[in-house]
Amino acid sequence: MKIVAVTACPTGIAHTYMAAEQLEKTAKAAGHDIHVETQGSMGIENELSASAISEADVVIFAVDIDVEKKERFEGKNVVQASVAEAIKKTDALLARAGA
Amino acid sequence: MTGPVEHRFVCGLPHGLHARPASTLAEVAAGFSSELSIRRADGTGADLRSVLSVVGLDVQQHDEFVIAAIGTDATAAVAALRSVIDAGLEDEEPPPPSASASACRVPPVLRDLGVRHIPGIGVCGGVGLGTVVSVDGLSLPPEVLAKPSQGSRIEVEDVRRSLESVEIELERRANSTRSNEAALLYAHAQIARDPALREAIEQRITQGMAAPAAVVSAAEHLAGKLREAKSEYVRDRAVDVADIALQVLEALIPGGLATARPVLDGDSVVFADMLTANQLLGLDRHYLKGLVLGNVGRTSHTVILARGMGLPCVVGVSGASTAAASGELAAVDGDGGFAICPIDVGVRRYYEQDQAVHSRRQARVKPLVGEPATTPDGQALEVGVTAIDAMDIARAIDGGADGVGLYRTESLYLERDSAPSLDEQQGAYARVLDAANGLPVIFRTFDIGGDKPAPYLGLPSEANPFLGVRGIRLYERHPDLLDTQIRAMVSAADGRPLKIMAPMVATVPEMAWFRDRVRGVSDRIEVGMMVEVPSVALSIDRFGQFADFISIGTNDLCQYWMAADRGNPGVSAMCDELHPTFLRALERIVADARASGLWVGTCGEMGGRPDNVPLMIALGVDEVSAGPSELVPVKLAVRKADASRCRQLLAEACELDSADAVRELLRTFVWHAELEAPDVIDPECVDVGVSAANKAEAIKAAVDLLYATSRTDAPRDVEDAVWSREATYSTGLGHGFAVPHCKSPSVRWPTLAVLKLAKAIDWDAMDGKPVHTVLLLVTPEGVPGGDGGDAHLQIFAKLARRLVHEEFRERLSACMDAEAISTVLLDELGIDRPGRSGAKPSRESQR
Repeated sequence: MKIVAVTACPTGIAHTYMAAEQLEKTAKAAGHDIHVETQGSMGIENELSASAISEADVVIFAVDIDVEKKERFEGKNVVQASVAEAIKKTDALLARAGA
Repeated sequence: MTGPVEHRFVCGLPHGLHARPASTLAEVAAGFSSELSIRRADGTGADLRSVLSVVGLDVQQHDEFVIAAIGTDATAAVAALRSVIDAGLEDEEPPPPSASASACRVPPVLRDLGVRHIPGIGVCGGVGLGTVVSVDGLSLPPEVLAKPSQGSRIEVEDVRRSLESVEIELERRANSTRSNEAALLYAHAQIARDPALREAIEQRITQGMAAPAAVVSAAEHLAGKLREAKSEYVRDRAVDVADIALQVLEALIPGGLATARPVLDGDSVVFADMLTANQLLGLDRHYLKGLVLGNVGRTSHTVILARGMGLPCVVGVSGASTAAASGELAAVDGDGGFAICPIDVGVRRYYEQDQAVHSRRQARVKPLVGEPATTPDGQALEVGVTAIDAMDIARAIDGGADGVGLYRTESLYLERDSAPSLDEQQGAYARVLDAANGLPVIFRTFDIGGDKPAPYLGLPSEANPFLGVRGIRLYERHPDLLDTQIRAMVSAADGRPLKIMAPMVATVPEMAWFRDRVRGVSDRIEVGMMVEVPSVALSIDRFGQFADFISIGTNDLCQYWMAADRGNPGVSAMCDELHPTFLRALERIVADARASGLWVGTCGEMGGRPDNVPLMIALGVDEVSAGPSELVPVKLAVRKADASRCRQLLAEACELDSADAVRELLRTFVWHAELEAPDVIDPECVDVGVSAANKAEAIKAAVDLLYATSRTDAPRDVEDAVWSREATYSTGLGHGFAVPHCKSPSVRWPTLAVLKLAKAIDWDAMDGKPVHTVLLLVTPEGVPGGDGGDAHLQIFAKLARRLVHEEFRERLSACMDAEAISTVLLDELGIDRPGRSGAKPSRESQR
């Protein structure tokens, strides 16, 4: 399935990227197609394109702060999680997202 | 007799009518015979000649007050006071509250130890450990209190005599010291002769009190009035009143106040509700390790002196004298604003480690300050020390001084009945040269004049000693004295290079004469002259025939240049070396000296201030002299000052019209465009086998790596920032790894510090497992774009991503030393390291 995700933690130095990497690693290993956008101290990186969002079956917000440009995801099926959950319980989170 | 003459004023002084301006008014008032008083809008008033009473009125900025005079010269007196007040009374800047005081903040490691801490306000940084010594203030022993009055006439006489002896002693000491202490001693002498103090004491004696009790009661009354003031500065003067009272009591009852002056016989931390400046000066500096004080403000002379001594000090501790039991071991933490008593093994260990980190940092900076200071674009500036005795010189040379810029010799000649012998002088000069350890010393031949007591010279008293027979002008009258001095220097040098210069040179023939005189003794001496008389400034080339070097005495040259006495409060503000007209004079002097091939040194406060370094570099002098505590700051300032920018700054400064405008220009000076950032990943910031008992100790150990390598100057701020991030959720990410991190304005350079712990510790990690590897990520805050742009953030992001992968963690865990860990990190993060600077992002990529 096609997954898009956004990760964002308070300082945006470490956990944002750890969560992104963990999600990518786990989802790909399970055979999914995943794109993760990071919203850290360098701003938005790997920004999700409109087409990626519209094609996605599910959106995962692994965030401890507000998501920037949230309007892009209006009408989508969004699964809300904490950054820690994405790092620690990645499999469970993906399962929650239906993957 | 004329009726009262009055004038209404509005106080324009930012800190109100505090001690300094009040004494100026009292000095002016002393020149008139009229009764002079000052009155506030609410009707309270004071005798204008009593500084204490005037200060006690607590006149704040924007407050209205009236000065009234009754007497034959009332009109003239009010006119004189008006002109002084309208000209703007000189104000003294009390230290800014935020910069100089830190409220109690106990570091996490000590908090975890659960020790009893005594909270206060840190006013002087550093840590001191020692035995608790409680010191009493103004409390009289019972046997003195029990003694009845011998009758008011006798008691009043006793007090007057004591007050007078205290005043004379203070003035004598003030006149014989040139340091900051002089200002304190003069201020105290003024309190000793203040009519308000005398009247308050005498009034109590008349009411039946014996002199000692009357002194205590009067001092407490006056101090209490000052403590009610709104202005912090005025409140802090209460300690000064107590100081004088204590000295008067000691004069009244010799040896009767032993508890106020304990003798320290081992490392000590002094606890006192109130400690006066004089009490502090009486304590053995060798054993005094710190102060824990109660009712003593941060602008008090006690605290100012403690700062000058670098003595850790905490104030505002209620019940300080009983806060710790005498004889127990205590620690005072001036940075944290608290004391700990008693201290146990854990506290001791904490501070020992702290000290070790501090030493590491010092050792790292030392080679830097030991070398000559050069600007990034290659201009060198020697930084010499201005010092009084051989011990100071030895310490300064060890601390990085490039030589002794000015060694004054007059102290050998003053306050004695005959001139110092050749042997005596030779011994003194040899000690100085030994202390300088081969580095150059500039000896200045004696500068004695009408204002300095040397009775054996039979100097006439002069109306204007500063314009009289002093310095070189005296030598032609006493050539024997000069010859003896030069011979003593030559024999002390014993073949070592020697530089001698003459003070107060004003004419070319004087200098020619001086050179001949020196050459008469030896032809191997470099002969120089002070440039402090303005007549020299425009003829340096002519003087150059007879001098090998010059040293610009900025203090005196500025006084003479501006025709303003820096000791006269009415005009001392004019005596400002930053005045553009003075800068132009310096520019000309240095340029002419350079053209004549003369070496140019400076002595005086101007060159010793780190803030002024850009001007000194722009002027192109070879050397500046600084006080021992400013050596390192001045050297570090040189290292970051771009010489071509400095020259631009000086050119701009010379086109301005006031010293304040120049000061503002200096304040906003951009020292350098390029900051040389150290590598984000560096073996220096990696430590293996670290023993930490808990998370607090591990975080401190990691932050200490940053402090030891000068990547932060405020480790406790960084620690706090790390902990506040930790409070959101644990940074223990599992598998034994933790990544504490923070953004903080106290971080100077983005850094990755790595600790491999000897024993894994609990970190409340995501998987509940203990942590064995700590990766601390810090980045500066408030620097938009940062120093190094996003490059370090990219490194951190990449590291975070790599940590998710087991292979990376295993590779890192296999490393056994700092070098290996750095290498793996650089390799895994794809950072090239050509030589040792690869982790540094390239300049181009940042722009």
